[in-house]
Amino acid sequence: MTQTRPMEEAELPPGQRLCVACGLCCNGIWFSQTLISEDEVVPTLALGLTVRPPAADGQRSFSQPCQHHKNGCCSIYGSWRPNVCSSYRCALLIKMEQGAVSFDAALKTVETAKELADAILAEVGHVEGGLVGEAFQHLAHSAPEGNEHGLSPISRLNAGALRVIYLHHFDNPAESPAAAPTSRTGE
Amino acid sequence: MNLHGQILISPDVIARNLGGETVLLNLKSGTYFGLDSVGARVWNLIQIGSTFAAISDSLATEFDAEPSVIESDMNRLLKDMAAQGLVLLPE
Repeated sequence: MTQTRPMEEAELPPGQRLCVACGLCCNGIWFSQTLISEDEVVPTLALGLTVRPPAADGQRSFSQPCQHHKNGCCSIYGSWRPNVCSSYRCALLIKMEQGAVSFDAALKTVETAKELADAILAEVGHVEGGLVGEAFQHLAHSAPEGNEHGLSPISRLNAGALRVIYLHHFDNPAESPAAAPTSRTGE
Repeated sequence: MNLHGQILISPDVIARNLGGETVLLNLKSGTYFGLDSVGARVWNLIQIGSTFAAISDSLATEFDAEPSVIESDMNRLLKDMAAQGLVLLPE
């Protein structure tokens, strides 16, 4: 039967429910930018997204957070989107779909990551660079002892914990949708 | 290693449990450390004031390993932790 009403969240497949509950790959928490092809530059600009100048290797990207990610959902899901927006799957989603992680466990991991991110953002406000990428380098090391301008110790710990969660549960380097964190180590 | 003295957590260290693993931050050096589930268990035992002997006994009842292996691994882990400024070992 043809679906004539929007699907309720509970009706979505588990993978989509997890993505709706998460959004960390779209909202600037994991990544500072999303990679696109040269052919996608013009239509991406037409979406109102901020396309960055070419990187040194010519790679194109648009800046995160994506303005079309609203209330946990992609507001242009049914329209044209850059290819990576529909193709990217984080490691947690893959593991859940393979049965290695239950939906409830995956959701718990997402919730923990979002709680950590919210706690950090509550102190620092907006950050540029993705909380596990360039921004992490700043957050984690901004407050050596005696630096009154730095983050609180708890937020620094939370930044490290968030990075650990990203690297252990979400990172999918084989299918990177975006500019990867600048360093893969915790330091 | 003093087997019966209390192992102390450095005042420069804060920790967060992430459901099985633990992240430590040495505020003085700005260095992060990750502990797996066994390391996290050791950290929990240190937090409640356990001695080397008490930690070894606990691990021997919780894990399927020879006590001598546990003691050897514990000795190495705690010395590493002390060298990184995470714990203070008893004299």
